[in-house]
Amino acid sequence: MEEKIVMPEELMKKKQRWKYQKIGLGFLAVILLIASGLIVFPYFSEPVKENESINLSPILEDQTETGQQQDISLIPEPLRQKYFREQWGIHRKNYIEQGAKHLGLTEQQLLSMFDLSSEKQVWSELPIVPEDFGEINYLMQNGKFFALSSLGEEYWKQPEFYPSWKNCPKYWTEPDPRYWTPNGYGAYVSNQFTTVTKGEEFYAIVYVHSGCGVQTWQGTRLEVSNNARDYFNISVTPNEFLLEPMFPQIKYGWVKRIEIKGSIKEETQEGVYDIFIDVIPPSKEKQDEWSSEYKTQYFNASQGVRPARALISLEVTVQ
Amino acid sequence: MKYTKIIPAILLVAVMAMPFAFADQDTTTFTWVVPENKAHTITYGGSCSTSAFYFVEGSAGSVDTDIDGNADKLLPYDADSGGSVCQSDSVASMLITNTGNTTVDINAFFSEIDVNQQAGVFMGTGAGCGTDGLGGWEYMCTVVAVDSPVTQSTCRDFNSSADTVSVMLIDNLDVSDTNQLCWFGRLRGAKGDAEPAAVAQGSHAETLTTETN
Repeated sequence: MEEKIVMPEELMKKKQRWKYQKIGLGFLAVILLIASGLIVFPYFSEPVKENESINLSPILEDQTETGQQQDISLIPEPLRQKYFREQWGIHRKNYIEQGAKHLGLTEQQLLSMFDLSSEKQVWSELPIVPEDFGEINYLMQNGKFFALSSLGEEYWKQPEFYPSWKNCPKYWTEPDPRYWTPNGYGAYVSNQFTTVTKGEEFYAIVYVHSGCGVQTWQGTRLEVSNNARDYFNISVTPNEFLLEPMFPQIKYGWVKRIEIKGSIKEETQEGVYDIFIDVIPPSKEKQDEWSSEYKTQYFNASQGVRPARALISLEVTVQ
Repeated sequence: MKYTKIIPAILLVAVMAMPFAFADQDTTTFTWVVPENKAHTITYGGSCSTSAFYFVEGSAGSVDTDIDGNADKLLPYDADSGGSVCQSDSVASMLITNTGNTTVDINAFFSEIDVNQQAGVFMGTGAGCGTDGLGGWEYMCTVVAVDSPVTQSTCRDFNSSADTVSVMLIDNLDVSDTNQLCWFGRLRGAKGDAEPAAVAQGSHAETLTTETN
Protein backbone atom coordinates (compact mmCIF):
# COMPACT_ATOMS: atom_id res chain seq x y z
CA MET A 1 0.00 0.00 0.00
CA GLU A 2 1.32 3.29 -1.07
CA GLU A 3 2.16 5.54 1.74
CA LYS A 4 1.04 9.13 1.32
CA ILE A 5 3.22 11.74 2.84
CA VAL A 6 1.22 14.44 4.43
CA MET A 7 3.00 17.70 5.02
CA PRO A 8 2.19 19.62 8.12
CA GLU A 9 0.07 22.72 7.41
CA GLU A 10 2.70 25.05 8.85
CA LEU A 11 5.37 23.73 6.48
CA MET A 12 3.11 24.17 3.45
CA LYS A 13 2.43 27.79 4.31
CA LYS A 14 6.14 28.43 4.72
CA LYS A 15 6.89 26.93 1.32
CA GLN A 16 4.18 29.01 -0.29
CA ARG A 17 5.53 32.20 1.28
CA TRP A 18 9.02 31.40 0.02
CA LYS A 19 7.62 30.85 -3.48
CA TYR A 20 6.03 34.34 -3.49
CA GLN A 21 9.19 35.85 -2.07
CA LYS A 22 11.25 34.32 -4.91
CA ILE A 23 8.87 35.69 -7.55
CA GLY A 24 8.95 39.10 -5.94
CA LEU A 25 12.73 39.22 -5.67
CA GLY A 26 13.09 38.05 -9.26
CA PHE A 27 10.72 40.78 -10.46
CA LEU A 28 12.62 43.39 -8.45
CA ALA A 29 15.95 42.18 -9.87
CA VAL A 30 14.63 42.47 -13.43
CA ILE A 31 13.41 46.03 -12.82
CA LEU A 32 16.74 47.05 -11.25
CA LEU A 33 18.61 45.48 -14.16
CA ILE A 34 16.56 47.41 -16.71
CA ALA A 35 16.91 50.67 -14.77
CA SER A 36 20.68 50.32 -14.36
CA GLY A 37 20.99 49.49 -18.05
CA LEU A 38 19.16 52.65 -19.00
CA ILE A 39 21.47 54.73 -16.82
CA VAL A 40 24.76 53.10 -17.77
CA PHE A 41 24.18 52.55 -21.52
CA PRO A 42 24.83 56.10 -22.73
CA TYR A 43 28.21 56.21 -20.97
CA PHE A 44 29.44 53.06 -22.63
CA SER A 45 27.95 53.60 -26.07
CA GLU A 46 30.65 54.78 -28.50
CA PRO A 47 29.81 56.62 -31.72
CA VAL A 48 30.11 54.46 -34.77
CA LYS A 49 33.63 54.78 -36.09
CA GLU A 50 33.59 56.70 -39.30
CA ASN A 51 34.99 54.46 -41.91
CA GLU A 52 34.81 55.05 -45.59
CA SER A 53 31.94 52.68 -46.14
CA ILE A 54 29.46 54.68 -44.08
CA ASN A 55 27.85 57.60 -45.80
CA LEU A 56 26.22 60.64 -44.24
CA SER A 57 22.80 59.73 -45.47
CA PRO A 58 21.31 57.98 -48.44
CA ILE A 59 20.73 61.37 -50.03
CA LEU A 60 24.39 62.24 -49.95
CA GLU A 61 25.72 58.97 -51.25
CA ASP A 62 27.15 60.43 -54.39
CA GLN A 63 28.71 63.34 -52.44
CA THR A 64 31.09 61.14 -50.47
CA GLU A 65 34.57 60.26 -51.51
CA THR A 66 33.79 56.68 -52.39
CA GLY A 67 30.46 57.34 -54.04
CA GLN A 68 29.51 53.75 -53.13
CA GLN A 69 25.96 53.05 -52.16
CA GLN A 70 25.48 51.35 -48.81
CA ASP A 71 22.41 50.13 -47.05
CA ILE A 72 22.92 52.15 -43.88
CA SER A 73 19.72 50.86 -42.32
CA LEU A 74 21.68 47.71 -41.41
CA ILE A 75 24.45 49.58 -39.63
CA PRO A 76 23.75 50.14 -35.94
CA GLU A 77 24.30 53.66 -34.72
CA PRO A 78 23.43 55.78 -31.70
CA LEU A 79 20.15 57.60 -32.21
CA ARG A 80 21.70 60.96 -31.36
CA GLN A 81 24.09 60.75 -34.30
CA LYS A 82 21.18 59.96 -36.54
CA TYR A 83 19.29 62.94 -35.20
CA PHE A 84 22.10 65.34 -36.10
CA ARG A 85 22.36 63.90 -39.56
CA GLU A 86 18.67 64.08 -40.26
CA GLN A 87 17.77 67.38 -38.62
CA TRP A 88 20.95 69.39 -39.12
CA GLY A 89 22.59 67.62 -42.01
CA ILE A 90 22.26 68.17 -45.71
CA HIS A 91 19.24 67.09 -47.71
CA ARG A 92 19.59 68.00 -51.33
CA LYS A 93 16.96 66.24 -53.26
CA ASN A 94 14.38 66.72 -55.95
CA TYR A 95 14.84 70.45 -56.36
CA ILE A 96 14.48 70.22 -60.11
CA GLU A 97 11.56 67.84 -59.89
CA GLN A 98 9.72 70.25 -57.57
CA GLY A 99 10.60 73.28 -59.69
CA ALA A 100 9.45 71.58 -62.89
CA LYS A 101 6.17 70.63 -61.23
CA HIS A 102 5.73 74.22 -60.01
CA LEU A 103 6.05 75.62 -63.51
CA GLY A 104 4.32 72.76 -65.31
CA LEU A 105 7.48 71.84 -67.19
CA THR A 106 9.44 68.65 -67.62
CA GLU A 107 12.62 68.33 -65.57
CA GLN A 108 14.64 68.53 -68.77
CA GLN A 109 12.92 71.76 -69.75
CA LEU A 110 13.66 73.30 -66.35
CA LEU A 111 17.28 72.16 -66.45
CA SER A 112 17.55 73.76 -69.86
CA MET A 113 15.97 76.97 -68.51
CA PHE A 114 18.54 76.98 -65.69
CA ASP A 115 21.34 76.13 -68.13
CA LEU A 116 22.22 73.04 -66.09
CA SER A 117 23.02 69.55 -67.32
CA SER A 118 21.72 67.85 -64.17
CA GLU A 119 20.65 68.64 -60.61
CA LYS A 120 24.04 67.46 -59.36
CA GLN A 121 25.62 70.38 -61.17
CA VAL A 122 23.99 72.75 -58.67
CA TRP A 123 26.38 71.44 -56.01
CA SER A 124 29.28 70.24 -58.13
CA GLU A 125 31.71 73.07 -57.27
CA LEU A 126 31.31 72.67 -53.51
CA PRO A 127 33.70 70.63 -51.34
CA ILE A 128 32.76 67.12 -50.19
CA VAL A 129 30.47 67.25 -47.18
CA PRO A 130 32.20 66.11 -43.95
CA GLU A 131 30.49 63.35 -42.02
CA ASP A 132 30.07 65.40 -38.84
CA PHE A 133 28.60 68.36 -40.70
CA GLY A 134 25.23 67.96 -38.96
CA GLU A 135 26.81 68.14 -35.51
CA ILE A 136 28.93 71.20 -36.31
CA ASN A 137 25.93 72.85 -37.94
CA TYR A 138 23.80 72.18 -34.87
CA LEU A 139 26.46 73.54 -32.51
CA MET A 140 26.99 76.66 -34.63
CA GLN A 141 23.36 77.56 -35.10
CA ASN A 142 22.67 77.08 -31.40
CA GLY A 143 25.52 79.26 -30.28
CA LYS A 144 27.50 76.41 -28.71
CA PHE A 145 30.49 76.54 -31.06
CA PHE A 146 32.41 79.60 -32.12
CA ALA A 147 35.84 78.23 -32.98
CA LEU A 148 35.37 79.50 -36.51
CA SER A 149 39.07 79.75 -37.22
CA SER A 150 39.40 75.98 -36.95
CA LEU A 151 36.68 75.19 -39.47
CA GLY A 152 37.73 74.06 -42.91
CA GLU A 153 36.02 75.16 -46.09
CA GLU A 154 34.28 71.79 -46.30
CA TYR A 155 31.98 73.20 -43.61
CA TRP A 156 31.58 76.89 -44.38
CA LYS A 157 31.33 76.48 -48.14
CA GLN A 158 28.16 74.41 -47.72
CA PRO A 159 25.12 76.70 -48.02
CA GLU A 160 23.29 74.64 -45.39
CA PHE A 161 25.84 75.96 -42.86
CA TYR A 162 24.00 79.31 -42.87
CA PRO A 163 20.66 80.02 -41.16
CA SER A 164 19.71 82.03 -44.26
CA TRP A 165 19.73 78.84 -46.35
CA LYS A 166 16.18 77.97 -45.39
CA ASN A 167 15.01 80.82 -47.64
CA CYS A 168 17.04 79.66 -50.62
CA PRO A 169 15.65 76.35 -51.99
CA LYS A 170 12.56 78.14 -53.32
CA TYR A 171 14.70 79.66 -56.07
CA TRP A 172 14.97 76.14 -57.51
CA THR A 173 11.72 74.62 -56.27
CA GLU A 174 9.41 77.61 -56.93
CA PRO A 175 11.11 79.57 -59.70
CA ASP A 176 9.38 82.70 -61.01
CA PRO A 177 10.50 83.53 -64.56
CA ARG A 178 9.12 87.07 -64.23
CA TYR A 179 11.94 88.02 -61.85
CA TRP A 180 15.68 87.72 -61.56
CA THR A 181 18.10 88.46 -58.72
CA PRO A 182 21.20 90.52 -59.46
CA ASN A 183 21.98 91.71 -55.96
CA GLY A 184 22.15 90.52 -52.37
CA TYR A 185 24.63 89.36 -49.78
CA GLY A 186 24.95 88.45 -46.12
CA ALA A 187 27.37 87.85 -43.26
CA TYR A 188 27.60 85.11 -40.64
CA VAL A 189 28.25 85.52 -37.69
CA SER A 190 27.46 89.17 -38.35
CA ASN A 191 27.31 90.34 -34.75
CA GLN A 192 30.19 89.28 -32.46
CA PHE A 193 31.31 90.19 -28.95
CA THR A 194 34.65 90.08 -27.18
CA THR A 195 36.40 91.45 -24.11
CA VAL A 196 40.06 92.48 -24.31
CA THR A 197 42.62 94.25 -22.19
CA LYS A 198 45.20 96.68 -23.50
CA GLY A 199 48.09 94.92 -25.15
CA GLU A 200 45.90 92.06 -26.30
CA GLU A 201 44.67 91.55 -29.84
CA PHE A 202 41.20 90.51 -30.87
CA TYR A 203 40.43 88.25 -33.76
CA ALA A 204 37.19 87.45 -35.57
CA ILE A 205 36.16 85.29 -38.49
CA VAL A 206 33.11 86.26 -40.52
CA TYR A 207 31.78 84.52 -43.62
CA VAL A 208 30.48 86.98 -46.23
CA HIS A 209 28.28 85.33 -48.83
CA SER A 210 26.06 85.93 -51.84
CA GLY A 211 22.35 86.24 -51.18
CA CYS A 212 19.81 83.59 -52.07
CA GLY A 213 19.13 83.34 -55.78
CA VAL A 214 21.81 85.84 -56.79
CA GLN A 215 22.91 85.16 -60.36
CA THR A 216 25.70 87.72 -60.71
CA TRP A 217 29.32 88.31 -59.75
CA GLN A 218 29.29 91.04 -57.11
CA GLY A 219 32.34 93.21 -56.51
CA THR A 220 32.58 93.75 -52.77
CA ARG A 221 34.78 95.88 -50.56
CA LEU A 222 34.63 95.99 -46.78
CA GLU A 223 35.35 99.18 -44.91
CA VAL A 224 35.70 99.77 -41.18
CA SER A 225 33.78 102.78 -39.89
CA ASN A 226 35.99 105.82 -39.43
CA ASN A 227 35.30 106.40 -35.76
CA ALA A 228 36.28 102.81 -34.92
CA ARG A 229 39.72 103.53 -36.35
CA ASP A 230 40.09 106.31 -33.80
CA TYR A 231 40.22 103.70 -31.05
CA PHE A 232 41.51 100.52 -32.69
CA ASN A 233 44.03 99.35 -35.24
CA ILE A 234 42.00 97.03 -37.43
CA SER A 235 42.80 94.90 -40.46
CA VAL A 236 40.24 93.10 -42.63
CA THR A 237 41.56 90.34 -44.89
CA PRO A 238 40.57 90.13 -47.69
CA ASN A 239 38.83 93.47 -47.83
CA GLU A 240 38.14 93.43 -51.57
CA PHE A 241 36.77 90.36 -53.31
CA LEU A 242 34.24 88.97 -55.73
CA LEU A 243 31.16 87.13 -54.51
CA GLU A 244 30.26 84.54 -57.11
CA PRO A 245 26.71 83.47 -58.04
CA MET A 246 24.55 81.29 -55.87
CA PHE A 247 22.05 80.45 -58.58
CA PRO A 248 21.38 78.35 -60.60
CA GLN A 249 24.75 76.72 -59.86
CA ILE A 250 26.34 77.49 -56.50
CA LYS A 251 29.80 78.64 -57.50
CA TYR A 252 32.89 77.80 -55.47
CA GLY A 253 33.44 81.47 -54.59
CA TRP A 254 29.90 82.18 -53.43
CA VAL A 255 31.21 82.75 -49.89
CA LYS A 256 34.46 84.26 -48.54
CA ARG A 257 36.16 83.78 -45.21
CA ILE A 258 37.05 87.16 -43.74
CA GLU A 259 39.65 87.58 -40.98
CA ILE A 260 39.39 90.65 -38.79
CA LYS A 261 42.31 91.46 -36.49
CA GLY A 262 42.48 94.36 -34.12
CA SER A 263 44.42 95.96 -31.29
CA ILE A 264 43.62 98.76 -28.90
CA LYS A 265 45.22 102.13 -29.36
CA GLU A 266 47.20 103.54 -26.46
CA GLU A 267 44.83 106.43 -25.75
CA THR A 268 41.65 104.30 -25.82
CA GLN A 269 39.75 104.36 -22.54
CA GLU A 270 38.02 101.41 -20.90
CA GLY A 271 34.47 100.90 -22.09
CA VAL A 272 32.27 99.20 -24.67
CA TYR A 273 32.90 100.02 -28.34
CA ASP A 274 30.96 99.10 -31.49
CA ILE A 275 32.99 98.52 -34.62
CA PHE A 276 30.92 98.62 -37.82
CA ILE A 277 32.13 97.11 -41.07
CA ASP A 278 30.09 97.64 -44.20
CA VAL A 279 30.12 97.13 -47.96
CA ILE A 280 31.33 99.97 -50.15
CA PRO A 281 32.14 100.11 -53.90
CA PRO A 282 35.35 98.29 -54.91
CA SER A 283 38.36 100.23 -56.18
CA LYS A 284 38.19 101.44 -59.77
CA GLU A 285 40.97 99.05 -60.81
CA LYS A 286 39.07 96.05 -59.50
CA GLN A 287 35.77 97.21 -60.92
CA ASP A 288 37.37 97.59 -64.35
CA GLU A 289 38.97 94.14 -64.10
CA TRP A 290 35.81 92.38 -62.98
CA SER A 291 33.40 94.15 -65.30
CA SER A 292 35.72 93.34 -68.19
CA GLU A 293 35.69 89.66 -67.24
CA TYR A 294 32.02 89.20 -66.33
CA LYS A 295 30.49 91.97 -68.46
CA THR A 296 26.71 92.17 -67.96
CA GLN A 297 26.90 89.68 -65.11
CA TYR A 298 29.09 91.96 -63.01
CA PHE A 299 27.54 94.19 -60.36
CA ASN A 300 28.85 96.39 -57.62
CA ALA A 301 27.45 94.83 -54.42
CA SER A 302 27.02 98.17 -52.68
CA GLN A 303 24.90 99.58 -55.47
CA GLY A 304 21.16 99.78 -55.01
CA VAL A 305 18.85 99.21 -52.11
CA ARG A 306 20.13 97.40 -49.05
CA PRO A 307 19.52 97.13 -45.31
CA ALA A 308 20.13 100.20 -43.19
CA ARG A 309 22.46 98.62 -40.63
CA ALA A 310 26.11 97.78 -41.21
CA LEU A 311 26.81 94.27 -42.49
CA ILE A 312 29.18 93.33 -39.65
CA SER A 313 29.29 94.66 -36.12
CA LEU A 314 31.83 93.79 -33.45
CA GLU A 315 31.24 94.81 -29.86
CA VAL A 316 34.56 95.14 -28.06
CA THR A 317 34.70 95.66 -24.31
CA VAL A 318 38.02 97.22 -23.32
CA GLN A 319 39.11 96.50 -19.75
CA MET B 1 -0.54 35.33 3.57
CA LYS B 2 0.95 38.37 5.16
CA TYR B 3 3.97 38.42 2.76
CA THR B 4 1.95 37.65 -0.33
CA LYS B 5 0.17 40.96 0.06
CA ILE B 6 3.08 43.06 1.27
CA ILE B 7 5.69 42.15 -1.37
CA PRO B 8 3.64 43.12 -4.45
CA ALA B 9 2.63 46.32 -2.68
CA ILE B 10 6.31 47.19 -2.02
CA LEU B 11 7.20 46.43 -5.62
CA LEU B 12 4.38 48.59 -6.92
CA VAL B 13 5.49 51.51 -4.77
CA ALA B 14 9.13 51.03 -5.87
CA VAL B 15 8.19 51.05 -9.55
CA MET B 16 6.00 54.11 -9.19
CA ALA B 17 8.71 55.94 -7.25
CA MET B 18 11.43 55.36 -9.86
CA PRO B 19 10.66 58.33 -12.10
CA PHE B 20 10.69 60.65 -9.08
CA ALA B 21 13.98 59.23 -7.88
CA PHE B 22 15.62 59.78 -11.32
CA ALA B 23 14.02 63.21 -11.81
CA ASP B 24 16.35 64.72 -9.21
CA GLN B 25 19.52 63.47 -10.87
CA ASP B 26 19.72 65.83 -13.88
CA THR B 27 18.95 69.42 -14.72
CA THR B 28 18.31 70.89 -18.12
CA THR B 29 19.82 74.23 -19.03
CA PHE B 30 17.76 76.34 -21.35
CA THR B 31 19.81 78.71 -23.43
CA TRP B 32 18.75 81.08 -26.13
CA VAL B 33 21.82 82.06 -28.11
CA VAL B 34 21.34 82.35 -31.84
CA PRO B 35 24.21 83.70 -33.93
CA GLU B 36 23.12 86.48 -36.23
CA ASN B 37 23.09 85.94 -39.97
CA LYS B 38 22.38 89.24 -41.65
CA ALA B 39 21.40 88.64 -45.28
CA HIS B 40 19.18 90.11 -47.96
CA THR B 41 18.33 89.64 -51.59
CA ILE B 42 17.13 92.18 -54.15
CA THR B 43 15.07 90.72 -56.95
CA TYR B 44 13.95 92.77 -59.95
CA GLY B 45 10.96 92.46 -62.22
CA GLY B 46 11.75 91.60 -65.83
CA SER B 47 15.37 92.39 -66.65
CA CYS B 48 15.76 95.52 -64.58
CA SER B 49 18.65 95.66 -62.14
CA THR B 50 20.64 97.96 -59.92
CA SER B 51 22.24 99.41 -63.04
CA ALA B 52 19.33 99.04 -65.47
CA PHE B 53 16.35 100.99 -64.20
CA TYR B 54 15.17 103.55 -66.74
CA PHE B 55 12.26 105.97 -66.84
CA VAL B 56 11.91 106.65 -70.54
CA GLU B 57 9.82 109.51 -71.85
CA GLY B 58 7.22 108.37 -74.34
CA SER B 59 7.23 104.77 -73.08
CA ALA B 60 4.06 102.75 -72.97
CA GLY B 61 1.77 103.33 -70.02
CA SER B 62 2.92 106.86 -69.32
CA VAL B 63 0.83 109.99 -69.43
CA ASP B 64 1.89 112.64 -71.92
CA THR B 65 3.66 110.44 -74.43
CA ASP B 66 5.11 113.18 -76.59
CA ILE B 67 8.83 113.81 -76.44
CA ASP B 68 9.13 117.26 -74.99
CA GLY B 69 10.95 116.87 -71.69
CA ASN B 70 7.96 116.42 -69.43
CA ALA B 71 5.96 113.32 -68.62
CA ASP B 72 4.13 111.57 -65.81
CA LYS B 73 3.60 108.00 -64.60
CA LEU B 74 6.71 106.58 -66.21
CA LEU B 75 7.23 102.89 -65.49
CA PRO B 76 10.72 101.44 -65.04
CA TYR B 77 12.31 99.87 -68.14
CA ASP B 78 15.40 97.69 -68.46
CA ALA B 79 17.01 99.82 -71.19
CA ASP B 80 17.02 103.43 -72.26
CA SER B 81 15.82 102.50 -75.72
CA GLY B 82 13.96 99.46 -77.02
CA GLY B 83 13.84 97.86 -73.60
CA SER B 84 11.09 96.00 -71.77
CA VAL B 85 8.93 97.22 -68.93
CA CYS B 86 9.79 95.76 -65.48
CA GLN B 87 6.60 96.54 -63.58
CA SER B 88 2.90 95.87 -63.96
CA ASP B 89 -0.19 95.24 -61.89
CA SER B 90 1.07 91.69 -61.31
CA VAL B 91 4.86 92.30 -61.21
CA ALA B 92 6.71 94.61 -58.84
CA SER B 93 9.87 96.18 -60.18
CA MET B 94 11.74 95.47 -56.95
CA LEU B 95 11.42 92.79 -54.28
CA ILE B 96 13.48 92.99 -51.13
CA THR B 97 13.71 89.77 -49.16
CA ASN B 98 15.17 89.44 -45.70
CA THR B 99 16.94 86.11 -46.00
CA GLY B 100 18.79 86.44 -42.70
CA ASN B 101 17.64 85.68 -39.17
CA THR B 102 17.26 89.24 -37.88
CA THR B 103 14.85 92.02 -38.84
CA VAL B 104 16.12 94.88 -41.03
CA ASP B 105 15.09 98.39 -42.07
CA ILE B 106 15.51 99.68 -45.59
CA ASN B 107 16.35 103.38 -45.87
CA ALA B 108 17.28 105.18 -49.07
CA PHE B 109 18.21 108.49 -50.63
CA PHE B 110 19.50 109.80 -53.91
CA SER B 111 23.13 110.82 -53.78
CA GLU B 112 22.16 113.69 -56.07
CA ILE B 113 18.85 114.49 -57.72
CA ASP B 114 17.67 117.17 -60.09
CA VAL B 115 14.46 118.92 -59.18
CA ASN B 116 13.02 117.98 -62.59
CA GLN B 117 13.87 114.29 -62.54
CA GLN B 118 11.60 112.80 -59.99
CA ALA B 119 10.80 109.37 -58.68
CA GLY B 120 8.19 107.92 -56.38
CA VAL B 121 7.94 104.59 -54.64
CA PHE B 122 5.20 102.73 -52.81
CA MET B 123 4.62 99.25 -51.47
CA GLY B 124 3.30 96.53 -53.76
CA THR B 125 0.28 94.42 -53.01
CA GLY B 126 2.27 91.23 -52.58
CA ALA B 127 1.18 90.09 -56.01
CA GLY B 128 2.53 93.02 -58.00
CA CYS B 129 1.76 96.73 -58.05
CA GLY B 130 -2.02 96.42 -58.30
CA THR B 131 -4.63 98.39 -60.14
CA ASP B 132 -6.31 100.13 -57.23
CA GLY B 133 -5.11 102.95 -55.02
CA LEU B 134 -1.87 104.13 -56.45
CA GLY B 135 -2.53 101.96 -59.49
CA GLY B 136 1.16 101.38 -59.90
CA TRP B 137 2.23 104.94 -60.56
CA GLU B 138 -0.19 107.48 -59.15
CA TYR B 139 0.93 111.01 -59.90
CA MET B 140 0.19 112.86 -56.70
CA CYS B 141 0.48 110.21 -54.03
CA THR B 142 0.03 110.92 -50.36
CA VAL B 143 3.55 111.26 -49.08
CA VAL B 144 4.54 109.67 -45.80
CA ALA B 145 6.83 111.22 -43.21
CA VAL B 146 10.55 110.64 -43.71
CA ASP B 147 10.75 108.28 -40.76
CA SER B 148 7.72 106.19 -41.78
CA PRO B 149 7.71 103.32 -44.24
CA VAL B 150 5.79 103.50 -47.51
CA THR B 151 2.51 101.61 -47.78
CA GLN B 152 0.14 100.48 -50.53
CA SER B 153 -1.68 103.79 -50.35
CA THR B 154 1.07 106.22 -49.37
CA CYS B 155 4.36 106.79 -51.09
CA ARG B 156 7.74 108.37 -50.91
CA ASP B 157 8.17 111.13 -53.50
CA PHE B 158 11.72 112.07 -54.38
CA ASN B 159 10.81 115.34 -56.02
CA SER B 160 13.24 117.95 -54.85
CA SER B 161 16.93 118.49 -54.53
CA ALA B 162 16.43 118.06 -50.77
CA ASP B 163 15.80 114.34 -51.27
CA THR B 164 19.44 113.57 -50.72
CA VAL B 165 18.57 113.00 -47.06
CA SER B 166 18.00 109.42 -46.01
CA VAL B 167 14.36 108.39 -45.65
CA MET B 168 12.67 105.18 -44.65
CA LEU B 169 11.26 102.81 -47.25
CA ILE B 170 10.67 99.64 -45.24
CA ASP B 171 10.42 99.32 -41.48
CA ASN B 172 11.31 96.10 -39.64
CA LEU B 173 11.32 93.69 -42.54
CA ASP B 174 10.80 90.38 -40.79
CA VAL B 175 12.93 87.29 -41.24
CA SER B 176 12.00 85.48 -44.48
CA ASP B 177 9.62 88.28 -45.42
CA THR B 178 9.53 89.92 -48.84
CA ASN B 179 8.43 93.49 -49.47
CA GLN B 180 7.58 94.65 -52.96
CA LEU B 181 8.49 98.16 -54.04
CA CYS B 182 6.80 99.81 -57.01
CA TRP B 183 8.40 102.81 -58.69
CA PHE B 184 7.24 105.59 -60.98
CA GLY B 185 9.22 108.33 -62.67
CA ARG B 186 8.38 111.84 -63.71
CA LEU B 187 9.99 114.50 -65.87
CA ARG B 188 8.83 117.93 -64.85
CA GLY B 189 8.92 121.18 -66.75
CA ALA B 190 7.43 123.44 -69.40
CA LYS B 191 3.87 123.01 -68.20
CA GLY B 192 3.29 126.53 -67.09
CA ASP B 193 4.96 129.70 -66.08
CA ALA B 194 5.81 128.40 -62.63
CA GLU B 195 7.46 125.29 -64.02
CA PRO B 196 11.11 125.21 -64.93
CA ALA B 197 12.26 124.46 -68.43
CA ALA B 198 11.76 120.97 -69.83
CA VAL B 199 14.37 118.35 -69.12
CA ALA B 200 16.94 118.30 -71.89
CA GLN B 201 17.23 115.36 -74.25
CA GLY B 202 19.59 112.58 -73.17
CA SER B 203 20.17 110.23 -70.25
CA HIS B 204 20.08 111.64 -66.75
CA ALA B 205 21.26 109.09 -64.22
CA GLU B 206 20.65 109.48 -60.50
CA THR B 207 21.97 107.01 -57.98
CA LEU B 208 19.73 105.61 -55.30
CA THR B 209 21.75 104.88 -52.19
CA THR B 210 20.97 103.41 -48.81
CA GLU B 211 22.00 104.69 -45.46
CA THR B 212 24.17 102.73 -43.12
CA ASN B 213 23.99 103.21 -39.41
